[in-house]
Amino acid sequence: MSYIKAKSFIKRDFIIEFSYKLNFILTFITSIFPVISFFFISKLIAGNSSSSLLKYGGDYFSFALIGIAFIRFFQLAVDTFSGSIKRAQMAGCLEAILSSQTDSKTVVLYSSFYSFLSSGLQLIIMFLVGIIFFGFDIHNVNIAGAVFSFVTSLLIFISLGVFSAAGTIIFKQGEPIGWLFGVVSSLISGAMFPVEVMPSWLRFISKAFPTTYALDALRLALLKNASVLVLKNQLCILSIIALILFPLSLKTFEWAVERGKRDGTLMQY
Amino acid sequence: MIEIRNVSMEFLQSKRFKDFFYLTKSQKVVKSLINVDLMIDEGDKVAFLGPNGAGKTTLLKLIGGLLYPTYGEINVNGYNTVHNNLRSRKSVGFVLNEERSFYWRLTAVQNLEFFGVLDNLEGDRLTSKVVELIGLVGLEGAKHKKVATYSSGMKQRLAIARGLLCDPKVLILDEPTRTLDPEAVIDVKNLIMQKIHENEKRTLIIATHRFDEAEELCNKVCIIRNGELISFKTIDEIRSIYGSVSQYYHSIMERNKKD
Repeated sequence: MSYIKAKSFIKRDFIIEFSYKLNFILTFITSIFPVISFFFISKLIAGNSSSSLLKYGGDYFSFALIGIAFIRFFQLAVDTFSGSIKRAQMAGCLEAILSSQTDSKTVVLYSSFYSFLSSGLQLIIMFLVGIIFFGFDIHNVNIAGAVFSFVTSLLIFISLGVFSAAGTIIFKQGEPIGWLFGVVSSLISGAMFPVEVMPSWLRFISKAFPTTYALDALRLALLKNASVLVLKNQLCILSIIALILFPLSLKTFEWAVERGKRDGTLMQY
Repeated sequence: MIEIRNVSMEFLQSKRFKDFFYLTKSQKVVKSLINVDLMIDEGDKVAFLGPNGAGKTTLLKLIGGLLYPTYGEINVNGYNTVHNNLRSRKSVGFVLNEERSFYWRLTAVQNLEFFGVLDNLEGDRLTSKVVELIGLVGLEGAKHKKVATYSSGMKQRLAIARGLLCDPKVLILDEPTRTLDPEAVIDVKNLIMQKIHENEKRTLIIATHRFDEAEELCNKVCIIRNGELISFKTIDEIRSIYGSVSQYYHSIMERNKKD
């Protein structure tokens, strides 16, 4: 039944998204532009790149592609949950969904599946363009290391997304978690430049963001063939954060829905 | 059976950051229901009458588990709507009066299939249920059209179909004819009368402003005013004492004003 429900949510969202055909096509096309931009930026700084890039093989384009592609994907993981709640509130469907025989946690998790598929496809397109046209090297990829890093990171960002959805139900406007993640983490977690080039106090703050460990692990796995064993420090930190945040976020969301039902503000936006 | 015991509902008027943590002692609240006690038996067809803002929809949402009471408790077929929310909802079908409660870019069939899956239907059972309900509400000719192209009456009929997906023991209808033109009102009323009403074991609860709806569809009428349940009588009692639901309503409201 879970599989059928998941499929049903994906089908619903695909039909709705595909009905806006231009937007549907543009979503995928626009994912290519950052790849092109960073390729030319890398040309500009070729030969002058920081020694801190050597840890990841020294090529700025490969470094930046992983940063922007995954930050974009993780940002979506954070935004998609609150976005789906907000859309359901504004469309007037949330009450109908929550009066069904499916619990609220399932609803919020499954509501994000289509977005993940769509963003996963965008992620693949970005890497394919990087590999085919701009020489992104895939000979040093450690698949197990990359998959493990990706899954643990994803769990963390899904948790942050579910927290954000709970925030949307309680506070109605402005999802502070999504904002904090989007603006701050992409700035100081090393999405576009290595954290080593920042002043020491910013480097210290960057350690509080899971994105820092996620991007570090993914870059080492994708560019330096780092195995799960080599990445054990980063993966341990990511796994612990995921194990704490994921169940906590689901509980928080459930509490937020109950709170909304209790004070009658569930449908307000 | 639905037991409503000493239920009160208070809505938060505004929500600020400090309200979130309940740090303030005096939050502004609006009392929507006050000490409501009511027993609805299996198979009862009950109409909630009352002016706008009386608390009818709030009471329906409390029974449907979409809201939790501030005080008191509600049990639907033995399940508490707060502590056993999902189980209590299993026997309830909710027909919302909100036209926008459908995905407008999906067809009627796609909408019903989606909500059917949420009600744990799948495979052939889902397909046949959707076909049956589309037929029941008379939307066969438009079943593959996007809901965005539907009239208010068609959306209302689709909402009734959705409410029946889980074959509920309790069907709740929130002002089912509110936004409809006179012909569509007759259509929807006939639909409820002929197709839904015929199940003697199904409990029907309707919030309405229409006396004819209450009289024709229900065997009990409940009047709510300013959040208080001020009268609850059977249609037979109403007819023998007041003659009609309309006279009953005006008489009770007048007496209540004087009190």
